[in-house]
Amino acid sequence: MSESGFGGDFPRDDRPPREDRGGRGFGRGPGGRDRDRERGPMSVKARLRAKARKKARKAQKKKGSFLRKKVCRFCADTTAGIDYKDPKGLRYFLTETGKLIPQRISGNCAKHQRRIAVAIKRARQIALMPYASHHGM
Amino acid sequence: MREYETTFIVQPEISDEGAQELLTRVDGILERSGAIRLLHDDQGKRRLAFDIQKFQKGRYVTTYYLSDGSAVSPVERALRLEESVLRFLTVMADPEVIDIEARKARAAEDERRHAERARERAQREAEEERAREAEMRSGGRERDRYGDDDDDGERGDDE
Repeated sequence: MSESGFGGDFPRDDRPPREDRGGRGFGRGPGGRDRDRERGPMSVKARLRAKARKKARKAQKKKGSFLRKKVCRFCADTTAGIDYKDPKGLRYFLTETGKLIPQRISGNCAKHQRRIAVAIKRARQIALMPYASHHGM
Repeated sequence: MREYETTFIVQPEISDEGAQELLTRVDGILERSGAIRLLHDDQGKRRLAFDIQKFQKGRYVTTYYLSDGSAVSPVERALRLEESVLRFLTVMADPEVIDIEARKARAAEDERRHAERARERAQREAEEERAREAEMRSGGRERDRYGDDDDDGERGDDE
């Protein structure tokens, strides 16, 4: 907790009158009880959501690059086509065991993920891509 | 007119002449069912992702053609009956081709490029073959000693 919530010890003239500042004290961050007073009480759900948001922000700050916003590579580069006859370009979207990588991880948009999935399924039919990694071992 | 592409895998043991004969047969079927054949794209022998009828490699050929849809089933029937064809897959590439002449011109262009590529590939393969033979003749003993390395090299050749 920083000293800011503990302002009573520092004589400052530009402070608002005491009753407007609310009862900020030790162990309570910004928000908390004085927010209730400004915007009315939060519902339990809203409070939980706010807490989750705060937690997510904190996690993002800590991890940094891990939560980088992903961009669909086919939207970013319009020249890149999706072709079922090109297993090299599709291999990136399969796990080592031959499963499709979900768009949550690959970062594709819905449209291109759908096309990737169709292309991989076609490539499997003509034996350009594996159904499972143990094929032919 | 719609554009279709039929990719099929021919057994690797079939000779070039045999494959050519199969292609001319497909051409005949396309012509009889009123389709316009754009090109055959012979991609050469590729490694299969999994064995089919115990074959690990196959010759991939993609045929592009324009048709109203009536040519698909006769072509597929012929491929199904042909024992040298391991697999086939027909995909509609374009639901509506309006400028047929432009598409034909583009196909001719592609065909030339593919032919060039095939020639290069054949040349490379021949060179590798010669290199392998030369190696066989010169250093049979060395080959035994570096057996593992040689294996890797051969796998590279397949690609």
